[in-house]
Amino acid sequence: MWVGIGVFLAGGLGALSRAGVDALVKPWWSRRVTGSSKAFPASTFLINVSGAFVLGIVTGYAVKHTAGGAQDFNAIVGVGFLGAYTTFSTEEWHTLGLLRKNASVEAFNMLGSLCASLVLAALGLWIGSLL
Amino acid sequence: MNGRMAVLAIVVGGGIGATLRYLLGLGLAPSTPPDFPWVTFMINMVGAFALGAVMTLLAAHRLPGPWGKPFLSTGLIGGFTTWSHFIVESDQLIGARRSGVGIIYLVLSIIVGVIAAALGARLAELRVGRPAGRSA
Repeated sequence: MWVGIGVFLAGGLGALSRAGVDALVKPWWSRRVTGSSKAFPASTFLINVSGAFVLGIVTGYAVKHTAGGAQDFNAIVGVGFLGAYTTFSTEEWHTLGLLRKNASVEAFNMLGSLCASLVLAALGLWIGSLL
Repeated sequence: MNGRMAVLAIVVGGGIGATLRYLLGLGLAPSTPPDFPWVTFMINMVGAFALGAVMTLLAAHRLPGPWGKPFLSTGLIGGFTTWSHFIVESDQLIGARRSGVGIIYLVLSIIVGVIAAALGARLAELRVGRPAGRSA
């Protein structure tokens, strides 16, 4: 029950943090770049790659430490906060929009998001297993 | 819209989305790698479909109230779907020498996810008509 409430609060904070990073990065990116790079969803990229890295650490730790405390930590911080902070649906929505308008930016965005996330999450899993 | 209202809508929506995802993971026997992560897969596909519909309704000004967008898209659907678990599960499959399953999971999620988002958008368009200036 308490873990469920923790997941709810952490999920709310995670979604709010995503909105916060969005509000900071979006205007910064559109001031910084010109042309077709404007279409690159820099804030979603940053959010998803950073979230995958940190979830790697949390998961690596929870896989190694099977005690209740580590599992509750994984549920609240991993499933709650990081799950809500990162977003699959927005990534797919950007992809659909870019496919219709700007296929090369789309290919770069999706491949870049996947590769960077997979490599950093693997690094995170390894770091987490050392903790 | 009042900024405090938007913050509240995002927090409540994100909390509900994350809790639903947590309960589905507990209820539907959390698929521990090296199995295909069906629970996360279905969550992300449903979320991609729903976001396609919600963004189309938003463009057509058919979302309820000023709280509709922050509650539904940033909060509920964003909090429900998860990129980080999708990635970590793929890494775990690959690490457990189930690279084939891992790559199928990656490719299937991306492609079916885009199709689901397009279907959601299309369905919403059929209801409210195509928005004049659609943007991602």
